[in-house]
Amino acid sequence: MDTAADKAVIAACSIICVLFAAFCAMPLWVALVSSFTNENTLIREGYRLFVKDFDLTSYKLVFTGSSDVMNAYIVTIVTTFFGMALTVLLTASLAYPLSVESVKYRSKISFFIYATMLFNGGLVPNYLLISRFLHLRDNILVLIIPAALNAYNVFLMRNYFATIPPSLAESARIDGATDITIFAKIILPLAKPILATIALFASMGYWNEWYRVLLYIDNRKLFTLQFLIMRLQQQVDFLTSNLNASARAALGNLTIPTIGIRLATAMISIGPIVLLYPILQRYFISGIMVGSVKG
Amino acid sequence: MKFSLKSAMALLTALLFITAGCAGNGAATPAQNTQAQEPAAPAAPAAPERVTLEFLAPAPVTQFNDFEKVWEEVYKRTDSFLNVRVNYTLTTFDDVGQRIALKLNAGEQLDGAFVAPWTNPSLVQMISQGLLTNLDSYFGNPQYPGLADCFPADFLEANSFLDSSGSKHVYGVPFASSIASTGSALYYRKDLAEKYGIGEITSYETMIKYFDAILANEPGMYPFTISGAIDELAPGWLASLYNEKSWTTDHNWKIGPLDGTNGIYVAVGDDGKAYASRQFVPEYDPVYRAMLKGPYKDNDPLLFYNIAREWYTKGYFEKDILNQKDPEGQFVSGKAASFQRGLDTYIGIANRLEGSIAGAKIGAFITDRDIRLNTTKNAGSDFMAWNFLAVPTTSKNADRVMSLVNWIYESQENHDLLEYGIEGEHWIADGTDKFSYPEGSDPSTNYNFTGYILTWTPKYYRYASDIPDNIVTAMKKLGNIETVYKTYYAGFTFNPEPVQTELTRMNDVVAYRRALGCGVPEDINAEIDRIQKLFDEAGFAKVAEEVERQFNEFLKSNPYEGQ
Amino acid sequence: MAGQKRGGFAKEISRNKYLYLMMLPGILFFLLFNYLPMAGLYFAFVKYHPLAPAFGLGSQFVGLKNFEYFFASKDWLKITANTLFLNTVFITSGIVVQLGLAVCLNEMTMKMAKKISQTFMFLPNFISWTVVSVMSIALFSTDEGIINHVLVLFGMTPINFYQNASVWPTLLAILRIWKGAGFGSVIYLASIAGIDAEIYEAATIDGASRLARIFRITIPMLKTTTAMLLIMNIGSIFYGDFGMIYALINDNPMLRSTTDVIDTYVYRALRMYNDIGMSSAVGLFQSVIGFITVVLANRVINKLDKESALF
Repeated sequence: MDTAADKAVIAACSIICVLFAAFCAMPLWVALVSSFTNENTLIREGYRLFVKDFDLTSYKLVFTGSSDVMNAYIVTIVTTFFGMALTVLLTASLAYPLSVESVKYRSKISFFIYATMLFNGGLVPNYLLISRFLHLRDNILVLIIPAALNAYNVFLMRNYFATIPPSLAESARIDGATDITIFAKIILPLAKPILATIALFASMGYWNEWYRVLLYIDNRKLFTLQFLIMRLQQQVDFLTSNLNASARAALGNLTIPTIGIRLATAMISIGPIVLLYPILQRYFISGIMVGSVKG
Repeated sequence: MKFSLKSAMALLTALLFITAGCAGNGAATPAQNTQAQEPAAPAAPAAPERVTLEFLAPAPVTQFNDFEKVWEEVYKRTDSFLNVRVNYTLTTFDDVGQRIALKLNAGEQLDGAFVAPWTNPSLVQMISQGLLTNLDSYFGNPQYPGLADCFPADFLEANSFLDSSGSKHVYGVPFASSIASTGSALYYRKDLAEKYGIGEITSYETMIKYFDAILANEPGMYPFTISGAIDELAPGWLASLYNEKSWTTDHNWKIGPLDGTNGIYVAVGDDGKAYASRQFVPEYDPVYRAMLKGPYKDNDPLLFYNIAREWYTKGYFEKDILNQKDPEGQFVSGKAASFQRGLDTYIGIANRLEGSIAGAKIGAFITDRDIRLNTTKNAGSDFMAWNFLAVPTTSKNADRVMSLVNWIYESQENHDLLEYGIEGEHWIADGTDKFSYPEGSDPSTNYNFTGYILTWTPKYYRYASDIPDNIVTAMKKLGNIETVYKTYYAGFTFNPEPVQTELTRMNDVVAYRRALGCGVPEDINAEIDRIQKLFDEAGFAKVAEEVERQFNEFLKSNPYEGQ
Repeated sequence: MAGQKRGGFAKEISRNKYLYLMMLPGILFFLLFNYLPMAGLYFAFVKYHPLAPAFGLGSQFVGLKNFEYFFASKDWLKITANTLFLNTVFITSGIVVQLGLAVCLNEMTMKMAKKISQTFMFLPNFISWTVVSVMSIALFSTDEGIINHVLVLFGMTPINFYQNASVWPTLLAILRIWKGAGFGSVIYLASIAGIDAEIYEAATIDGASRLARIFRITIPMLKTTTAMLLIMNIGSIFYGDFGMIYALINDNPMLRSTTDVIDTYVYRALRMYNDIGMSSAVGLFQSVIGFITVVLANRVINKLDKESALF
């Protein structure tokens, strides 16, 4: 039973969460409202909490002239799905042995993995690797494989595996199970929260991927949604920061995409990932309510 | 720890050697191919073998509308003698420069690449690295009549660049819609000017009256706006606006920066030798000051900074101007009452403004006095183009690329097909120099090729039918090499290589000058001292000396003969 | 001795062969996609030429010249200090808020409210900094920003945000928390979900209050996660958040004294004269000092609590 003090704690925590959620949601709400507002009203009168001068122009402009948007959705979903699956598989199978104390070189291998977070060779060698040696240009695999494994995820997972009592694996081993069986049958089912977390992080990463598309994909059939959006953003950034007046003049009548378009594309790109979130959410938000993880 | 590092290094080294081994035959040496290739006859009787040309260019869209359709038409007309297919990769403005380098590094086919002074690496850098093919022999060559027609010798010479061996060549086909780039206008609201009894802005004074009227009567509207995140008001733009002298008199100094953004001013003395001011406010250098002549002798070096500050304090533009990026958006939505942009964008701005605010009428005040008053040979230009098509040295298809470009420039008809699309469907001709869009055509799906990547030339340029005559007249003058005089520094390009370290450090200071130029700092004199000190620490003097040295070198073959 | 070592190595491998087999794909992945391209670190010491032999590695060796433009500027220490300071603020505020949110969310009993508020917290992560910048101007603008409107309403003097460098570290930290804390709290939520429920049950039977459970069980159990996040963040402590700072601050010189970081400096310096060698040089500098910091931090943590060390 909760005492009065406990109830106060619950109330305080709830208030903090709801306030923070509101703090997060407000600007999004304003962005959503603004994306449906007439551009001129927006610039002249600033942002509002409710739509004034309802206007769908921004959304129309995003979708017309590019039948690409639907196609990009499909590519994005495909790469996100397979990328997520590959990430979880590779990450888990690398992270688990690193959490087993009997693996003598685990600290060295951890260091080997960690160093990849610090040092990277930069754009040129990566481009060479993909284009010249792996011949993955204009191949959907370039959007899936190179992003499948990163040190950050490996350590998150290793950290979680380490909290699983080693006695579980030990007793299975005495029963004659191999490490692979232990991993698949005992460890993974206990690691649902972290698997869901990594799946979420991975799908976020894949969903937002645009730079690899820019570098390695010329085939319009393989463009991702974020790429189409980032092209627009990049154009804004470039026109408004990198060119001096003469250079800009020499590009003729290029206009900066409107605020409305930028907000509309941001809204469109959030859409589907929001649907995925509640599915994964239950694995890590359930907490102690579910009862013992050992089931 | 030791084990993993050691073995990783060993593996790495091994892999490195393997890859380095097979590189030997793959990569071309940088030195080769600086000589121009001997061009083959483009109009050979039999069509040459079919070849696909790989082009790379920056564009605001991932694909132009109806692009394939237009190229199909091009192929139909040219297959019997060119027999090429063109594959355009359109990338972002940010990426285009580095992508060229990456593609060359990775040994990918690239036949036509967009390069510009602002690409990263820039045109000059690529030339000095020997990455681009010398195109001299294609110009002025009777086998390529289109190129000879559209690219006059003067223009080409100004767009030739020094290579690593110190000789000057054409390394890119220069694209420009006009010869002189001074065609800028103050776009304003004619409806408001009329409402407040000003009528039309015809001078600096009427412009200020207009600003005051807006300030007094239109709450929530700024009289003026500028993209303070990149541009500065003073001294350059205000100077051209304020100036009541003709630039052609006693003009022995260079108005703009000679090296891109760092604002090194150079004057030429009576002995024909150049001197680069060691101060970023050039008149503060007594040697430079003494070299100025006629009306420029009495220049008040602070004049424009004072005006900018006055505009700022009066509220002619917003306080947060340094973060403003979209002046056009502010103007067309009615947030600002005027802003500056090129003449060639007139129609786009007019349509946006008049389409979005009922009753709004566009006005354009041509800021450059000599162009506005339309005196003969009134605009000076260095004839520099800002956009180029280059052929990388790794391409085996230079002849084919240049034959295609030649075809485009051979006739108005060929040019129009690529620049404006299929006549009747995408556009309608209006005489030989104007055009309009067909009734009911949708701008979002109509052909939207950007001419700066392949087709721009003043010779064939068409103006939208709705542009008022005075603007067209001014633009035509700017586009005609006969009516524009060539500035004494035309053809000079600064090679940044020897002072690259100093320049990178000076780039860091430029933003402070921008703040000053937008009137933000209160104490102008103190700020100038502070900025100059920062510039000095960054190596301003060394860069100035280098500019001076290179410019004197240039003057040896292009002596100053008055302006 | 080498033979003996190799023997130990072979023995270890055969003893845990399945575990090493499981790691093999991942290790090969890192070798191929991370270690092989590290050859590019060498570009920091050459005048990069794309057509040079050996894929550009054969470019002319220039020693330390590529480092000059950075280290010869008197600002490099100041910029490095800014980077360090901003990141320290970001990392600590981030971790505290993430942990706090996760703990609070965990205590919420209304299921629906819990899920909805968590989803909202998660969303800002999807808004790019460019879009945030469009809206932040509306918030902070001197003439008509919302904040200044409110300040004026309460009779206070408006703040000239875009000319006042001292307020920006706080603003940036708040914006970063707004954008990332909800998302980051997922890691803590997962860790909490992994805590053995029996521990809580036992504590409840012993009569521990909720507050006691939070401070005696939940937070101590998150120690290793926190240490790990800390070390991982420290590795990139010398990398400025370019995307954020450039989008929000732009190249506004009035705000430079507190917001200029290594990455924005390099961007400004090289945007006219881009040079692979020069940008690699500063990247290498950032990596090396980050590396040293991390090794030290890991050693400290190793001494305090062996379990929490990363390697």
